[in-house]
Amino acid sequence: MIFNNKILSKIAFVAICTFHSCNVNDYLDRSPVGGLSEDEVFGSYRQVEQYVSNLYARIPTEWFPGNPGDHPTLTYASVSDEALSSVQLAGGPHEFTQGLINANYNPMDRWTGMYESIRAVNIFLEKIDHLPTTNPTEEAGKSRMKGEGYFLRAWYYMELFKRYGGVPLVDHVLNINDELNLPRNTAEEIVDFISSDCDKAVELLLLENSANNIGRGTKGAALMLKAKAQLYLASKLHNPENNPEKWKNAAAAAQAVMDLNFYRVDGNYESLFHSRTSPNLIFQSSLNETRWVSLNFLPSLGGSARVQPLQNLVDAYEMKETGLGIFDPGSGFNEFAPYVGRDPRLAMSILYDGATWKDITVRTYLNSGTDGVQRWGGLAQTQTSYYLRKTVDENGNITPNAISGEHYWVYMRYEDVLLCYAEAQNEWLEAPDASVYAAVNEVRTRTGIDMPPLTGNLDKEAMRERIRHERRVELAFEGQRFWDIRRWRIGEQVMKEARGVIIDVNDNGTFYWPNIIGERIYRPAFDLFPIPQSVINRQRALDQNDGYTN
Amino acid sequence: MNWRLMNNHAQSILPTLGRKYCCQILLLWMLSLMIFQANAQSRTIKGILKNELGEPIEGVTIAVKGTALVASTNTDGRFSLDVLSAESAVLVFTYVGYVTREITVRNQNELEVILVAESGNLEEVVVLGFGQSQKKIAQTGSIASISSKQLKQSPVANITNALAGRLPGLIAMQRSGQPGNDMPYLFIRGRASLNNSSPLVTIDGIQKDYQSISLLDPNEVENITILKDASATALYGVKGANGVIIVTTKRGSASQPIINASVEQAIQEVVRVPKFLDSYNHALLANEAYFNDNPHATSPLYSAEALEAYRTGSNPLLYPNVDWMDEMLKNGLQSKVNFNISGGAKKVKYFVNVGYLDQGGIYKAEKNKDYDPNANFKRYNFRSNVDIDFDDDFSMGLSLFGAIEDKNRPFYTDADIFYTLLVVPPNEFPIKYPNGRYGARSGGQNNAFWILNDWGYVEEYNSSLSGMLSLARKLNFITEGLTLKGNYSFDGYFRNSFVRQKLTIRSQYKGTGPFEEDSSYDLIGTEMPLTAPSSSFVQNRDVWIDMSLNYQRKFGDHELTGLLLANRTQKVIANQVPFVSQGLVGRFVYNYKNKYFGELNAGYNGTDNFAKDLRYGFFPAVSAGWVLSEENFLKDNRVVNYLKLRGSYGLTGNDQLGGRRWLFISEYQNSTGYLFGNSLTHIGGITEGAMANPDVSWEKSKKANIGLETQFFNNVFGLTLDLFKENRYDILITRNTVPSILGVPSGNLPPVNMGKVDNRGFEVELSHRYKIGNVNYFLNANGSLAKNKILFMDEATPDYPWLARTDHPIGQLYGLTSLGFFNSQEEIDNSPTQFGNVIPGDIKYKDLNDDGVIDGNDEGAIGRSTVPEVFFGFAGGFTWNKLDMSFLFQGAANANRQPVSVGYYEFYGGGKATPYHQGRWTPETASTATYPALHYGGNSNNHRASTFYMDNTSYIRLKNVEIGYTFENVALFKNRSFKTLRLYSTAMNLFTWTEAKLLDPENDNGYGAVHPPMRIFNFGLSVNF
Repeated sequence: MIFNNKILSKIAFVAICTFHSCNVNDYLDRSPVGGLSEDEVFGSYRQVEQYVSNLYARIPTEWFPGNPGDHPTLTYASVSDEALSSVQLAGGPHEFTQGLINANYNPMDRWTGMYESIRAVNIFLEKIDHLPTTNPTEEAGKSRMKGEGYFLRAWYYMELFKRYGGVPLVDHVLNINDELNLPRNTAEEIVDFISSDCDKAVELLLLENSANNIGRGTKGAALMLKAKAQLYLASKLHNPENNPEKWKNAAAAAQAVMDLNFYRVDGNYESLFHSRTSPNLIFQSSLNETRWVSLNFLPSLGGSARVQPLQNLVDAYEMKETGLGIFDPGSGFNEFAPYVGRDPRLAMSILYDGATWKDITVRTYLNSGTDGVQRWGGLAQTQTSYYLRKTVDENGNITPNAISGEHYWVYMRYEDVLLCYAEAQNEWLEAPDASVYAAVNEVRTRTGIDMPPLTGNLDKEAMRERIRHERRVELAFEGQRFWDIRRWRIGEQVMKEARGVIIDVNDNGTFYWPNIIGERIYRPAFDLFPIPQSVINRQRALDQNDGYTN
Repeated sequence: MNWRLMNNHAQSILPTLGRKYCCQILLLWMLSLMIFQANAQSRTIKGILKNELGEPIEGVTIAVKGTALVASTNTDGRFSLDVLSAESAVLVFTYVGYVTREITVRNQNELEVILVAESGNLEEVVVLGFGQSQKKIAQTGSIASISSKQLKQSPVANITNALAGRLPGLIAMQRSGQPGNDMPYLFIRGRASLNNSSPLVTIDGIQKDYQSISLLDPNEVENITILKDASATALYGVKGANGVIIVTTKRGSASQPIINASVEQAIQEVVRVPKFLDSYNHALLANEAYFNDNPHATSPLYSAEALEAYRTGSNPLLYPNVDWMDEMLKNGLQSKVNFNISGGAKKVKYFVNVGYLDQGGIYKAEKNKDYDPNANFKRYNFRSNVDIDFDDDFSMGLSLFGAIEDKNRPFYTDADIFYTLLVVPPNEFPIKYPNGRYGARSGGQNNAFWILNDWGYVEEYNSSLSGMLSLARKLNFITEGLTLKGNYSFDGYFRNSFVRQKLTIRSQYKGTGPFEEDSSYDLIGTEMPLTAPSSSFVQNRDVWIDMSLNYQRKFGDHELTGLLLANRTQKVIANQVPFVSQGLVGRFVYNYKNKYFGELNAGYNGTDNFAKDLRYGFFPAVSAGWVLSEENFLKDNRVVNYLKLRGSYGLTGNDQLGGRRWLFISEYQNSTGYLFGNSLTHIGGITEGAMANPDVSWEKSKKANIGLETQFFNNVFGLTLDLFKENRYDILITRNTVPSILGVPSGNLPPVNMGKVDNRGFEVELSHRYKIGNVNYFLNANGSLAKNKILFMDEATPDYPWLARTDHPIGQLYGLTSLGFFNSQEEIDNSPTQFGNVIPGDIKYKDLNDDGVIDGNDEGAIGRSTVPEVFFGFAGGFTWNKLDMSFLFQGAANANRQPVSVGYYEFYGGGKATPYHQGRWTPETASTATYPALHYGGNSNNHRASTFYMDNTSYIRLKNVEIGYTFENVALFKNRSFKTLRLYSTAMNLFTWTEAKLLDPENDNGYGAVHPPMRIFNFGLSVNF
């Protein structure tokens, strides 16, 4: 044998020593890699810029307001009286329109997400003052970012307020060992807090951001947010006693935006969601929704047509000549040519049978082919005989080459400010004054829309109806109607049924048959969202909203 | 034996082999070896070794007295020895646990030798952790094992699918039958953790990835053992709490080369797929459903003319009637070839194995010029285990293993294809139109053949390599019985895959025009040729090193065994900082007269996942055994010939916390950013990350086990019983009672060691073996029960007690309770408000909280979980002369699943209907209806989790059958023959008895978008020379 015992035992001895000398105690010590510490983040201007960037990313995009925010059928339009989705997927809009929402189930809930965002902005506001700056540009940036922090905190609370009414007010960073079983604050306290944060933001924000900062909050955006909060607080949902002071405050807050004398109405209806530089834009998302084209294009162009406008909405467009509703006597409406002579916003919002889109004549009549109505609903074909036009970029394409187009959600625009002002002003006055007419007509008659102005002596109620009607048409598919229905408490009247039309083209001519597609269920309780039961179970001090019994 | 059968069999194998050059090479190699062997000149003594029951014994050493000649028996108990001397020779037969026997051979060439067990069959050796083993009689812990012979009875591609029903205490559920991806869920004694409950896997003493067991060829496995209680698993310390699966591979022994070669060919078909209605019945039910949903509708979905066309099949292009499932699926083929050789001389021993597996797909795919879209899985295995003794004191072992896997599949996954098969209606479109294009409907369902054939393909190339070097040095110069051992092992995993996509145009018939012309169709989609490959690559590496001192010595009636082992691991996973752990293992065993046994096992180990001062944990276990049958009052009892009591108690841990690493450190992390400015400049986001818990630690388990082992009537009957109780605590959970206004996402809350789960149950094993005339037979039954209950998970108190998860098993199902169907509008009006627009015939639910509204608050615990609590197997078999047969029934009970959506719900998502839906409620059939009123599309009332849809997934299945016939000394050449040639047939999943609807009961989620398990008919030929 080559080896003898001595050599072997030496080898063994060396082996043992090697094994035991390799730092037994240190073997598990490694420097964990990954994140930065809190102090590192808030000690660096560049890191804080990124922290603020994430605060913006926390603003929900409203193309698909479901939760998680990517449900491709749940749109504000399809859960209000604007549209339907003929595809029923779990978590889709039918669960809202069929009244299936309860404290255990709400696909549009945002409670948890918004409190996470509030924590993030509270951390920021507690730390920002200690951020060291090295030059005047950074000093200005620090001030602006602080203003953005207040603006965004107000935004997050507005999201909660719209959904739940009064919620617990958390204005500092909570610790896991703090008393967390906090009760709800009142709606007034929340709106006061939003207003106060907006006021602080207005002080710090700019009227107009530089070109490389477009997309950030501005003075105007903060003022508009405050006006919105005041308007919601004054509305019937939160003002059942109809306290005129609340309306007066709301009117004054909207007036403050108008007084900036910075924004202008714009008739850019067809480029509204596709441009980022219009004089009427107050706050807009910079995130391009690249799926919108494929989800809403015509089936014949390869799209899925998720948002299918309802007859309910189509009926709301007035006659252009007379400025009258189609069912009003003398309006000039021809039921055999129902799309002729209507408010131009109809053609710019909805594709109907005979409309032109991308140089194609859209045919939705029965058995007309790929775009024809499908009565019981298909995966893409329309069930209502209508397709969506507004918010869809006509420059987009699916085949042969995919072009996603440009789709930037508009959160706030000047026409909305005018209509908010008109609404609030009309409500606290005995009868509408000239400023109410002026605000509404500025919207109606602007170049590109050119509807006849409101004239004559409308009383308060008639004016209210005209303003509500104007909001519905002007802001269709912009995510406003869903909330307007709630704050006005009109859900039971307008969320009764989904209607479409069946267009029958035969040898005798073209006939338009009314088509009731389905009943919708709305209960007054839906005006506010339920606080999720899982949230209440952990926080027993929270009172549930009315109508969500437990 | 039916020779015709064999001929047919050979015909069926040969074309398959012809296609595969590697098989040819293997066969050539086998033949050449035989020819070389044929040159040796000597007298050959052949024989078979059997035990008292006539069962062959593998691994018996046969030595020729006075010479260095040795041999050992193969799996069939056969041996062959070339003796040079023509005179008489004395053969010595030795085998652990059996009385050594000497036989003088004069001129017989054929021997049948019976070996008698020393004391029952309890001297058999059981495998323990870290390369330890002990005699079964000395076993004080709870373990179970399965040998190679039983493993090979299951003709499966993945060895883990051969374990179900064989090992009491192991729960194995095959959730998918996808080739190359059919690893079952394995749990030892059920689940006791709210985190990962998978057992630890070791191969030849080295801790491996859970998946690595599925790479093995059954022919290279000697034994698979599971360790269940604390005494057996305490050595693994922080990794032992979920139990341990120990795989031991074969090694050579000193003998002439024993060569085994086998070829198997199997036909596989899906065990169970749902049946769907044809177009006519589909249309009838669709019309009914449509009117249910639209009572004011004037015209039906399908006109009388269409119905008639569907019924008569008069125009299949315009009115198609396609049974998609039937059209798409065919029988798949599976081939296995194996060659292994083992043997050795006194100083060098070897075992070399080469294996090949080819599992074909079950789709009727259309091969095109660029690729074959059908699923296919090939695996090439090799292993070489070599042991070298340098001298009496120093030895070395080198084990090398490699597994090469090639997988080919269509671009769409099996889940997508099966989903499409489940959802596409029979009348959606024909598979293909005469214009040569696949049928389609704009906005309709996918064409299953189109997504299979025309979307491109995916190829995966995986390789796994591992090597282990072992050294052992006896330290007798220090003290007798002391040995120093060391192992160094590495595993490398390389996973490479690429995707190539293509697209073709489909056609939708316009309704008029000749079917042959493209102009009669709307052409949908675009044409895209096969794209360039887009690939991905992952590489992992694990290193293991251990060094141990072993001690074993007998002092009179006292026998001592000891082990002290240090080990260290490093896992490099893709691009992460390596995961490291290290530990010490200690074991001390005392045996007095093979009557009293005591054991102390302990693990002390740590991982880098915990804070510096909390990294190491100590996990001890004590156990003891008492062989009552060795006591005077039971000795030589005629009924009970063996009786042993044993018990264990100890602590183990589980560090598989899943997901986050370094739970003791808080950090900020990159997050979603936003875009600013005209140019949409992206600014990355930073946000607060996970909150730390500096006190975080592993979960712990206190386990108690009591066992009883008996044998009656001279080992004719046996009974083993184990009772266990486990208290799992300090389970790492995220607190569920923290109010959301804190603003920390639940995934970022600091994890805390607060969870508690209780797990208890028993295992029982009954065995019987006997011989009647020429027939030896055996019957074995084993069953286990494991029930767990969540004792604490920091659950927020729900409004109603039935909503609670605490005090229920892990994975408990929840849902509404069905009270049957509404029979009238009046009944609906007088009942609690349900969901949406409810009509007569819809499901009526129980209002648990009596608030007049059916909602989430009425969803209580229904049924059990998807993991069965009861698992059992019943095996039996006999041998009669050269014929042998065996079977295994396997079953599970106390399990449910909650089916959702496609297949179960009528017309769901634009889908179709099954014969099950024909039992629907109508006013006429109200009293006999078995299914609610039909709805077209989704229905918010009926289509939700409830006791109505819940399936009982208990089952019994005839899992395996094997029939074999062995020929001996089959002449091949003039002076050369096969020692044995065995023809056999095995079958898997032959029959299943279950109440579960539509899908195989092992499919857990009741959503058929998964490749079903397979029924396999296998034919094999194995030779030995």
